[in-house]
Amino acid sequence: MKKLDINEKRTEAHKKRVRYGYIMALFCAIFWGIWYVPGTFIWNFDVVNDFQMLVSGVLNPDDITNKGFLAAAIMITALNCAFVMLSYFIWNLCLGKAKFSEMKRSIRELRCCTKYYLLGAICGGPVAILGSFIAMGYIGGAFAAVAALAYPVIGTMLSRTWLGQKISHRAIAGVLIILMGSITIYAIALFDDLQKGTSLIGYVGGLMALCGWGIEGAVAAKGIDVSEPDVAITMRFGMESLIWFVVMLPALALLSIPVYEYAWYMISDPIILLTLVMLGLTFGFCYVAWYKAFPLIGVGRGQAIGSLYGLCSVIFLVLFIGVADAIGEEPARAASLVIGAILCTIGTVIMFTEKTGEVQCLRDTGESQGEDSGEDLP
Amino acid sequence: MMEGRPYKFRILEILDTQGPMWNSDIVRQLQNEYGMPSDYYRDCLNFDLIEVAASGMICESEAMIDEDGSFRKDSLLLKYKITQLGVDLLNELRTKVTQRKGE
Repeated sequence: MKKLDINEKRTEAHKKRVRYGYIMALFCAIFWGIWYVPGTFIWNFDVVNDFQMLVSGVLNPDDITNKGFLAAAIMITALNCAFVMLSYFIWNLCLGKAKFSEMKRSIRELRCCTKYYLLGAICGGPVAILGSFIAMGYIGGAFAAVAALAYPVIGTMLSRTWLGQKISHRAIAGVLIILMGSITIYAIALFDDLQKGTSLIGYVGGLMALCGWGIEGAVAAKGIDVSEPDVAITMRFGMESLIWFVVMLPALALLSIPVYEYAWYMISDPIILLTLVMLGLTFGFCYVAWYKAFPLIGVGRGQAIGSLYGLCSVIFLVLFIGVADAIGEEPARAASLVIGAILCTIGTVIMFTEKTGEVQCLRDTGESQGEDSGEDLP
Repeated sequence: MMEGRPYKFRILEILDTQGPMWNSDIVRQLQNEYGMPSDYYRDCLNFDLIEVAASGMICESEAMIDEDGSFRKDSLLLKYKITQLGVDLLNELRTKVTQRKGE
């Protein structure tokens, strides 16, 4: 009787861990989805428009060049990063001073930990987040969100080949359906814009987000193998801050672009400041949840459930800015977005309903899990 | 060698050098070494163990219920042992860690 109790408790403990991992990934999707609302709003402020026109050297908003647009995207991404760091400072204060001590210990280990945070910061910051802001500004929030939906495919492949994590047939099926959904969304909009001769820079931004986040997930998981997720995420954004504030913004300033002045204008405006705080909080906590999910359910599953952010963002954007502004008025485009979002959701549900035993240990260790194992233990 | 380094480094080393151990004993040892006596940090360190086990670096070898409440009354106690993956990772870490004075 007692043996059965232990087995039941053990099975329950594994289920609890997996459930916690899935809940974290789901939180990530919700916060990430909300992030696209302030992320889209920020492009509509006059100061951002003025900055783009100034850098482009034009007086009409319709004449803004790619140079002006990219400079604005860099400035917004840098501010986003600064406000994410602010939210992490508060978060770590709440978690206790031991987190700061662990941060010091981890960052000293350059070859074991820090290199992964830096690589994650490069893939996530100047590639994925900048790409996403470019897509948001050029094509719109809803498209930017769904354009990167296929990132779990890259993450899953890397977690299998590089990290040696187990991937079940069910998980592969889920990832493939998510990929089909993303292609549905991407292909029709791309074909439509190619016919109209629209600039493709927004699509390049979407592709940057897709590759950047996919690779970052695998790199982050490698770092989290030897460090705590809260520490890893704070360090990763710390590294990204260095990229923006030590390299990119000074580089823009050297090109005589008044990036600091305009960044200051943005922070001094209460409404823009509130938007930036929203950006920092939503993105900060989406990343915390993302990093916490990886060690519990693996990169592939964490990213696949996290990719529900596409659906969440469309819902939140429709709620906050309306159907026409969020998706557009063309029926084919709206239909492809809806069908793609449904496919992505089906793929996610397939992965979510995977047996707990499949996720008990993320790698094949070749070790027995003890004689008291419950029936769903491998 | 891993004392005073990140928790997960030390978890691998403890299990490698001291052999299979109950989670309660590992957590107690870590709490003493890192000066983290509260129940909150006890649960945080136990969660680190769960993460390391999920990643396949350590695995469970035995289980029992904490009937006398030495760790957490009626909770599940797990005995962990290091896996070959864990040994490989630890050996890699040993060659890569930043050297401290006197090492």
